[in-house]
Amino acid sequence: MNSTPVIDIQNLTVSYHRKPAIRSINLQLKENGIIGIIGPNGAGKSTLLKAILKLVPIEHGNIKVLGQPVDKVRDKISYVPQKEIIDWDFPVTVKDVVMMGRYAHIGAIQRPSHRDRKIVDEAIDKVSMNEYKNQQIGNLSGGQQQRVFLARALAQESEILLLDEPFVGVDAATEQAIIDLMHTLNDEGKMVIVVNHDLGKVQDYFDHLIMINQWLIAYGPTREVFKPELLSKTYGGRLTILQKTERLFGVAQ
Amino acid sequence: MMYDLFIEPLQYQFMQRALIASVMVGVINGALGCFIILRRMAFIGDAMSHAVLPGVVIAFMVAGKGHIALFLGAVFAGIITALLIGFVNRNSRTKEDSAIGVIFIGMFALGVLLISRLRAVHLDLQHFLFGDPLGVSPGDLWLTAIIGMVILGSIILFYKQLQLTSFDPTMATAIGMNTALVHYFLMGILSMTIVASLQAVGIILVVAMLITPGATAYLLTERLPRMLMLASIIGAVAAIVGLYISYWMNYSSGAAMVIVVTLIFLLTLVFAPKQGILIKAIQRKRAQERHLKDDILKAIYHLTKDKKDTGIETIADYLGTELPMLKKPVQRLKQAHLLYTPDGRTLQLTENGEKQALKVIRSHRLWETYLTEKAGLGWEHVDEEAERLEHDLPDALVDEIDERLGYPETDPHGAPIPKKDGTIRETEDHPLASLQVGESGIITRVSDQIPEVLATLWKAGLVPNVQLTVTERDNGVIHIQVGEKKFTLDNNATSRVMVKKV
Repeated sequence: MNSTPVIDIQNLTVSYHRKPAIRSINLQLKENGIIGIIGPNGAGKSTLLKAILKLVPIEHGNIKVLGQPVDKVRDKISYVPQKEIIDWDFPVTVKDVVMMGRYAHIGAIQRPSHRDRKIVDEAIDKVSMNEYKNQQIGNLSGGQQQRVFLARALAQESEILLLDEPFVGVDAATEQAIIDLMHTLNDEGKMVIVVNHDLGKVQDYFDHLIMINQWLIAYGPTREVFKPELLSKTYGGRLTILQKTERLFGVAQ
Repeated sequence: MMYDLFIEPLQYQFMQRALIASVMVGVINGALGCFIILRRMAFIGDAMSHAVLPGVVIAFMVAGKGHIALFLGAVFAGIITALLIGFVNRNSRTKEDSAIGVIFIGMFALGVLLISRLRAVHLDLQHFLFGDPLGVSPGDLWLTAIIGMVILGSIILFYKQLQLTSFDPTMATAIGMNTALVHYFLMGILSMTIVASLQAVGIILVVAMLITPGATAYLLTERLPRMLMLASIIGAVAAIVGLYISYWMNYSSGAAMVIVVTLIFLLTLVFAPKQGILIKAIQRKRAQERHLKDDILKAIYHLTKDKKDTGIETIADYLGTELPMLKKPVQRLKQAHLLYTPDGRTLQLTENGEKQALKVIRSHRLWETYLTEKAGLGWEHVDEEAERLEHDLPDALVDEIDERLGYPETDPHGAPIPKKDGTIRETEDHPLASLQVGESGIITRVSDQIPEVLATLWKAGLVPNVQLTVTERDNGVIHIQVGEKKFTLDNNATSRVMVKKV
């Protein structure tokens, strides 16, 4: 078995304006299965994703992806940002946005090839957005918008998918579609990492959990780490845990 | 006539050159401006146009007029300005807009200062500031053409990078695009565009040629390639029309071009087919008409059920509107076979009319239930809210609300909710006022017209399913007993509380 971690994070610290957001995190991700990142607001969940892609200045530490510095393998990682940072009035259609997923593979001054277009069509099809192909993205519902960004990530045909809060503001059908897609990708051997805010469905969705609160609190199989002690350690006093017929429900405030 | 107006001036070579230069300036600015707008850099565009001045002046001092050095000087000054703005922004508390303001005015002042020292060499500040297309030399024309090709060529070649870094810079960085490089590249070609536009419109007005065509195109299309095309065309048209106006009426050409392009923008703002103010007003008016028609059908349904008169006056009274307001919609409803007048006066619902009325009532009552149960709104306020929400809802959404509420039979006021198939189980009930002394009844529903009355009844606990007994009646005032409690209701309330005799 290949024992090189897919993502290898060594002693990572990230600060914004000298305030640390992530402190000395060590993580070796190589397991198969969908990985969730949970933690309270300001715990550095999104920052951790961005640090993997070097989208934030890394104070110290070292990250290797697929055994290499991230700059060498950027085309193999796709990233779905939080919905709020997108300008939904921008004059692009569903097809245009999904095509952006191919840009990592198209030369600097080259145009999309026939093959690129085919991949884009297939990706749109996989998220059932066929009939909206030529719609401007602002005309879509929240769930449809999320599907478009998912299709963009698919079109990139990457090895690793990083999703930042994909379930915020989407309908139940889209949530299910995202979950199904994550499983399909995972079955194809791709690593899927998801920042998640809502603890309600953590046990259903994720095989492994990264629990952080600036420091890494725990990483492991969900059934081993999704436990009251570790949760209250992650969320401090800010978590209400309701014990209900052997199931945990959490509400992060 | 046309010949005189448009062709005759072209016999002069200076006018031919002016026309070609202006069209090129219009096209280049229009196309580039789209990206400036989409990146929300209109203010930077303005700043850059002023900030290139010292570069141009120094190049002029060194190399003379009409030389390529002018462009290099401008690009150099432009890049310095962009870098300085970025530096100040990153390394101090100064926010970007302040940094832009400080740097560009400083650079502009430096340019003016240098020109004032140059008086002796006949460099006319006026020409830099306001342009002089009729003074375009063949050399200027060539340079503008080359610059234009460089700029349009880069937009075509690097379309992907420009599009993605403008739309989603985070993803652009994530897949390894150098967003900073794209930014400074854009600043570089922006400086070149500004110099190319110096002769035609001048430094002060160039920002209008840069921003306005793109802003206009943005109102007309939702596709970036189309936006680029449209903005270029609008820029070119404005440049040509402006130039002719200035030729025939002796106005400043730059100002004429800017006035024309501004007028095009304003006309588009009003008349654009999708985003225009006019079409939006028409759509609002149509929606209002549609809502009024729904309200009329609803009113007739309620009045008929209460066995009241359904003449148009009564309906106007019921809806609290003026009679003349109703004439047209009632006419339309008749034409649509939703209403008919069996006796020539009273309005009655046809089968389809009743269906439509029940649809609106269903939506209204489901909203009321949803707002009280899920949104936690007070009993007395939900009617007004539901009144706003009931119209124009897709059936699927209404059905989903129904499902989420678990298919409730009645709304919070006790009124029955019509089912999906259009049926309604009307309750057999009577106004409280019809009960005699000693008789008892169970409250079935409370009419939801007046919030104050509703609020009082709610607080008193007089809500659906409560049993009461009439103990005394005098002059329309009714005394009732509910369990141990006694209440006195005036006829405002007694006509609105509906009961079922027990």
